[in-house]
Amino acid sequence: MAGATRIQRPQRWDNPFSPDMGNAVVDRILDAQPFVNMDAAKFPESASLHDIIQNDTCLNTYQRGDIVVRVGDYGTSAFLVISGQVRVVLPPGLPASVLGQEEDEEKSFWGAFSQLWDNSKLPESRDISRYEKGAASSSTKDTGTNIFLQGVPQVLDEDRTVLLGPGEMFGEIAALARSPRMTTIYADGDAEVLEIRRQGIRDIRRRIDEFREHIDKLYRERSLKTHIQQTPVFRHLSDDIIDKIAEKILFETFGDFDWHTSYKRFVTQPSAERLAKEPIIAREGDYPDGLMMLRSGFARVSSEVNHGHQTLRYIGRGAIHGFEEIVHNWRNDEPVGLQNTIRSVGYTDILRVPTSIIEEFVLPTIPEDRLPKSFGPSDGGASQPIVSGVHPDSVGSYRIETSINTGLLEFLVDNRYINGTATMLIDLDRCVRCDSCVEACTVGHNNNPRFNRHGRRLGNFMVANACMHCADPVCMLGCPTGAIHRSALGGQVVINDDSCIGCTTCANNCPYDNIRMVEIRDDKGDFILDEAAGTTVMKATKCDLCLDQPGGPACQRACPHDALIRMNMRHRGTLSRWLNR
Amino acid sequence: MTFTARRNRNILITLLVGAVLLTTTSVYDVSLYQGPFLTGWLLLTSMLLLSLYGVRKKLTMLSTIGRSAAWVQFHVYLGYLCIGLFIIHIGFRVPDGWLEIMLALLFVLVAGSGVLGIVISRGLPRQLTRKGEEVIFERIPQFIRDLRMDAENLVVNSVTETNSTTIHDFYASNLRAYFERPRHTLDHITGSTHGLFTLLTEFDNMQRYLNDKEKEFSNQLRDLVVKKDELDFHHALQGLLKGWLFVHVPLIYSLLLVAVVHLVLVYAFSGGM
Repeated sequence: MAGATRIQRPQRWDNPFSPDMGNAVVDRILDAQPFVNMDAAKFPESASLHDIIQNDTCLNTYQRGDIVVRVGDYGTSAFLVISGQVRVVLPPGLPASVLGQEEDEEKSFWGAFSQLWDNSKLPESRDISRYEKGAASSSTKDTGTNIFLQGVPQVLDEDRTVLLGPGEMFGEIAALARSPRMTTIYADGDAEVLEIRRQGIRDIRRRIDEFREHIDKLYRERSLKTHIQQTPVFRHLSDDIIDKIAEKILFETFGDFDWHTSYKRFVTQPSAERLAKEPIIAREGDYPDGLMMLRSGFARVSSEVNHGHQTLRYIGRGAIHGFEEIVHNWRNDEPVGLQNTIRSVGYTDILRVPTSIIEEFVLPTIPEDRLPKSFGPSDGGASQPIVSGVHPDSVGSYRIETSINTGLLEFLVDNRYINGTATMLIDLDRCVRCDSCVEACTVGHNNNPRFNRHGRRLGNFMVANACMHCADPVCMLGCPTGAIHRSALGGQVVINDDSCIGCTTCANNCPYDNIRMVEIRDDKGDFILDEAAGTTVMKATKCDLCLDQPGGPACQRACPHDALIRMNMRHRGTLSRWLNR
Repeated sequence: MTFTARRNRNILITLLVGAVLLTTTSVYDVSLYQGPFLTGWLLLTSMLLLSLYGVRKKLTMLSTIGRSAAWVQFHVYLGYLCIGLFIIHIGFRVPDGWLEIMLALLFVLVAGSGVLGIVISRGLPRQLTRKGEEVIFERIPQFIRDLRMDAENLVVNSVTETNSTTIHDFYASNLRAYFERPRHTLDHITGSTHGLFTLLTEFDNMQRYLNDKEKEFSNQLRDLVVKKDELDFHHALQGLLKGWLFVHVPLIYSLLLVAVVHLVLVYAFSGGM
């Protein structure tokens, strides 16, 4: 390796969130709420509160009408109002045209075509000038050039808004839950807003109990009402009733938030043992004492069959369980118990609405013909849900009749493939093993394939080792620089190569082994070495769903025999149709 | 849309287009025009369109040119139409003249290899799925090397631990060549298990000379032989799935070249028709 290029190994704060956070600015922030009351001694010297503010935050200034966050955008930052005021737009919110939401930039026709000869002939070749300190763009910042909201007075007249002032925080739900922004927030006048990236929030939460409690309180208060309003069963209810329901709702958490660590240990165990480790949320035959709403995570719905359990379906965020039984018991004198068992798969947040509340406020307001039929001996216990507003493809709808083979369903749940929003499924009965998919991927990524046509299989279906762009991307947990993040609009999980320091946290966290660490080279083919240690510099790589390529995932387009698809596992209907072609 | 529905739709479209072409050429003939000129030009145009799929396969990064799977469907059914057109073009008889015979032969080879490609593309993946683990073709030689190492270690251990050379002698005479590279390719392609059956029979014959300890080694070696057979199976079938294109594609270019020569000669000697 005599000719190898040597560089300084990238460090966490080589590329701070903002280059403008000088000591004077940081000191001013530290004198403001809530930082002024924090005990700086609780932070280690290597990552002091001052360092966190300096490197993991950015002070943004806004003028009246500037949008701070937009509904639907993915972001990993929370915000704190330092001065001035911002306005939160309440549901139903503003139309996309008013918000100026733009698509991610993708290669032009010529840009895509020229990859045929522009691509490097060497594996994992990089332009090392990008890794010089300060050269990396802060592409993971949630706010870039300010976007102006047209017609602020009209918005104020027509849309319901709430003001937030200095010291108040927002955006923490999307930052912590790795979910899309739930609302649009814009500046009500001149305002200074501190943007704190998730790594900063994580470190402060870990050290300061009051800060953690405050964030958790906001998280519960703000997400709950929106969640209730978005559930089809409650959608038609007035704000007063929603408030009453919110008061009575019980919060329950099942499973382990760090499920990805235990999953790797349990995945090879026999099915019955794995099932026994999934915490039961409600057991078949139990009295339905409340309507269960999944706030986050996944659950397995199963039914007892002799000495085992047959998986009937899996459900995710937005789904409800127990509604049919509650309706039956409300109508009939002879009550029935829950028809199925529901278990937490990994980690599940449940909101339980007591049956008495459903009977008092909800059932009398739904027309009889839109309610599920009662259970009876003639229909073998089956009933059909007929509540409007449920997308037939949504995991949120309940009892979608699909013809997914039970074995395959259990395979998908046991291996947590239900987490994927772009799971690569290959029908091996159609696949001629031509590797056109791999070649297409290679062309779109500078001659480096970003997945393996290999993976676990059941029967003729294989789940290939390609990033599934999970609904709950645990790979993002613990990334010290925020290099792995969700893209702005599509929500794909992508890695910013410039700010990746090769720490392998994401690769180790990925429960599906879909992130690969690679040794990078310069344009001459020599390995790039760390100046100090003399070891090769690593970068995390994975499928990015061809984010910058026109037309989306090249692997799917390149398959000559319709053997490969990128499947959102929430869309059980689409999955069922694909499996049964 | 299910595959059956898609196939039915495409067959229907192909038959309709075929019927239109047949009617058109009949009308052309009845009108005393030279039918072969029309069918010849249609055939050449179709063959050029068919050959474009090779270009499409290289342009994976362009979304506007459609999915590869749609191109394959077009390629397959236009290919069937071409066979019909070709039969009409040669007037339902064997051509005479060495150039025409060569051209016809090339066409038959291209069409035949194409049809063979469809047949194996639909049949072999199912067989691959149902035997052994999924394995990437390029990695098979490495896996075979690993198996050979395991087998040789096993044989050496059997000698040192049992003080008997029976298994070693059996390996030297029956298995050394077997573990060197992929074997029984033709057996696997034709669906025969003759090669493996013969080897396992030899294993059974050897049992009478083994004590219990040796039988343990023999059973382990037998497992490796079966694993190697599965790798051979994948190598043979995946090789065929990749290899048929090395026949089909060069023949296409030869066919196009000879077709152009044929076209030039036809016009050169057409006498103003």
